[in-house]
Amino acid sequence: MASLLHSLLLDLRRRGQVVLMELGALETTLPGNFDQHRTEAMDRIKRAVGMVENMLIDPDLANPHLEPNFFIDFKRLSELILNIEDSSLLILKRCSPEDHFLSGLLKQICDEVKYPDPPPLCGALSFQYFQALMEMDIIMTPQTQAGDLLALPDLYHELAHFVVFRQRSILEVRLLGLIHKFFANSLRRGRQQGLPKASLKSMEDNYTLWIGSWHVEFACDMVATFWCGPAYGWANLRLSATRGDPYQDSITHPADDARRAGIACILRLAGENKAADEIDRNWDDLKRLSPSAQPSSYMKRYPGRLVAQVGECIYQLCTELGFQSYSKQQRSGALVGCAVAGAWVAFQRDAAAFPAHEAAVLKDLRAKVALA
Amino acid sequence: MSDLSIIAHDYALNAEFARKFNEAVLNLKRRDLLKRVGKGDAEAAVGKSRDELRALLDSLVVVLEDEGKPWSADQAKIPADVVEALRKRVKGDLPETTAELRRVTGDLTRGSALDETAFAVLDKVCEAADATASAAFRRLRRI
Repeated sequence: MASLLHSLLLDLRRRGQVVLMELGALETTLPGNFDQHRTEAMDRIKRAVGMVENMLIDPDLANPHLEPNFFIDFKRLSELILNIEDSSLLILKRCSPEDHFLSGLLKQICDEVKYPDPPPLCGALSFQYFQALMEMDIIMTPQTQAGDLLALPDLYHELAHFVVFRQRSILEVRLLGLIHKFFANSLRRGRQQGLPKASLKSMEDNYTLWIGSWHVEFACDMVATFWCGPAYGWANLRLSATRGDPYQDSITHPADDARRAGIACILRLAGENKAADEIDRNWDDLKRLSPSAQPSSYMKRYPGRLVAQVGECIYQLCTELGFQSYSKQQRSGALVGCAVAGAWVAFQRDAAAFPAHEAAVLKDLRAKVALA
Repeated sequence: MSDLSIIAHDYALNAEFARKFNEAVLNLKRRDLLKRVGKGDAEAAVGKSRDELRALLDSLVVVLEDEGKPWSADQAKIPADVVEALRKRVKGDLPETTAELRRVTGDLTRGSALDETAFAVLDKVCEAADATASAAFRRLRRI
C-alpha cells in the first residue's frame, strides 16, 4: 500500500495539472501583459509538478530520516499551486476591461517611477481594499478602482511593498539597524534612570511592533510619497477619515496619525513644505472632528525622532535605488504622476466639480494607456 | 494597505526561508546519513547546500545569541517569526540548541559529514520554519 505522503503527492500532481490545463486553455484570449503572466504562472506550475514527480519516483521518499523533509516540501508546493489558482488563474480568467486598464496604469507608473522589475499584474477583485501579493506578482484593488482617481496613490503604496520585500537585503539592514539602535539606547537610558519594569516592558513591546510589521508599512508609505508626492498625503488623509480612530494601531499597521507623520517627513525632505503644512492643517481638522484623544503613551510608541530617522533612511535609499522622485516626474510630464497630482489639486479647488474633471482625465488615461 | 499585504510579505519571507533550509538539509541527509554519492550535478548540489546551510546557520546562531548585543546584518537574513518559533519550540534548551547549531556550523565549515545528532537539531529549525510558513499561509487564506 502506498504511503500517505505518496498519495498526497499524487493528488497534488493532479491538482497542479488541472490548474495548468486551465491556464493553457486561456492562451488565445489574453492581451500581452496578461499572457506574459500566464506563461510565467504556467512555468512555475510546470516546475512544481516536475518536483512532485521527482519526489514520487525518489527511492528515499519513505525513508524515515527523509520523509518529514519531503512532507515539508510537499506543503510549500501545495501552497504555491493554491496561490496560483487563487490569484493568477482568477485574474487571468476574468481579465475584465477594468483589470486591463489598471494593469496598463500600473505598467505606466512602473516606467515613471523607474521601478526595476517587470510590472505586477493588477486586478479589481479585492474584497479587502488594496492587496500586494508579492509571490504572485499581483496587486488586487477594490472593485471600482478603475474609476477612482483620488485613491490611485494607494497603488503606489502597494507597488512599494514589492520594493520593500525584494530590496530587503539593503533596506532592512539599514532600517532595522537604526530601529534597534534607537530602542536599545532608550532601554539603556530607561534602566539607568530606574524606570519601572512596566515602562521598560512597554518599550520592548514597542520595539517588537516596529521590527515586526510597522517598519514595512512606514517604509511603503514613504516610498509611495517619494514617488507620488503630496497626492499620497492627501489620499492617506482621505482613507484615514473613513477608518475612525487615527491613534488606533494593530500588530500589522501603525496608527494613521503616525503614518501621517512619516509621510510628512518625506514631503519635507523633498522640499514640499507648503503641501506638508497644508496636509497637517487638514489632519488637525480631522482630529478635531474625531472623538478620539491621543493616548498618553502615544509619543513613546511613535517617537518623532525615530520617525524622522526612518524617513531620512528611506529617502536616501530611494535615491540610491535610482527611483524617479515626484518632482522629477512632474517636470518630465509623467502621464499618471501628473494626472494623480492634478486630480488632488482639482478636488481641493472644487470638490463639487471634481467628478467632471475625473471623468475627463480617466477618459484621456484610458486612451493613452491603451496606446502605450 | 490591507492586512493581507503584510501577511503576504510575511508568508513570502517565511516560506522562502523554510524552503531553502529544508532543501539544504534534505540534500545533506541523503549524502551524509544515507551515503548516497552522486556525480557531477548531484555533487555540486550537495556542495551548494552545504554552503547555503552554513551561511544560514551562521546568521541564525548570531540571532539566537543576540540578547542585548548590537543589531547585526545577520538578523535581516532570518525571519523574526522563525526565530520566535524556534525559541518557543526549544524553550529552556535554547543555550544547548544554539551550541549544537554552532557545532554543526563548524562541521560544515570543515567539510565534515553531519551525524544524526546534527540532523536532529537541524530538523528542529526545519520544523519551526515550516510551522511559521504554514501559519502565515493560513492567515493569508483566512482558513
